[in-house]
Amino acid sequence: MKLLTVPGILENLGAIRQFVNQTGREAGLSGQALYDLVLAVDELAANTVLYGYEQNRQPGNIVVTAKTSKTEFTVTLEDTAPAFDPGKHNLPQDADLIQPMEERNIGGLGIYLAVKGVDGFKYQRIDQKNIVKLSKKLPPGS
Amino acid sequence: MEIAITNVENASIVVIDGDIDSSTAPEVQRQILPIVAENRKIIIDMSKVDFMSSAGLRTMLLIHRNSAAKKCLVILAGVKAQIAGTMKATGFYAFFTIYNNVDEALAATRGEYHDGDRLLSNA
Repeated sequence: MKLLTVPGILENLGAIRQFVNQTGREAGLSGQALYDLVLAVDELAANTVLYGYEQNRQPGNIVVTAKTSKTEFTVTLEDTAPAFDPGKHNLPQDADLIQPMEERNIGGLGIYLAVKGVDGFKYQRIDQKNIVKLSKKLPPGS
Repeated sequence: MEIAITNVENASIVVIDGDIDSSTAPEVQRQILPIVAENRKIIIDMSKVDFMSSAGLRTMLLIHRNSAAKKCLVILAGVKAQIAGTMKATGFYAFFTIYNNVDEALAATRGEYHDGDRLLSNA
């Protein structure tokens, strides 16, 4: 298991992506699967910073752990912001995603991409922490 | 992330170099929105952008809305496959004018798309 702890500010999104890119590659992910996972982690981390920490004027860390099993690679994001389950967020529906740009609702796209881009998504609230587990299946033989 | 804007012929070329995420998207918006003007042509070179999150999509949405209102033609050039994938998954791709590279985009600005009609009729 590998671990990265950073202050929850937008400037650290790049470091979080780099951590997921590197650990995911070491686990055997590549191409679109790795990109989708990196995007999912980035979207949820950005959400935590903007709507968890900054909006509540309550700074905190983001803890990212990477774990590899025989069949999947799992990234866990932990924060101490107020409880928020991204899986319960109202996601854009198919009809929303064909609307012309002029009529688009600007919200919800990040969480939509995050949930859609992974094979496994699990939220827990434990000890005043939001814990989100995101997993991708590993290609056979990796 | 860095942005360089140069004016060639009848178009402005905006080269974005680096990731577009929640920390850098506001800068993209700050630099591009002011040059969106009546009857202007803007080519955004995305060939050096390896990552774009929904923050980048929101910026693209604002650029699209502003350009449509001002009949300004905005062309995206050199969009990497994974970013194109995100734009397709969210229904953005079809609403943008996209060329493989800056040269093809420039050729298009000299030709039939000079008044931005394609952009507007696409939307």
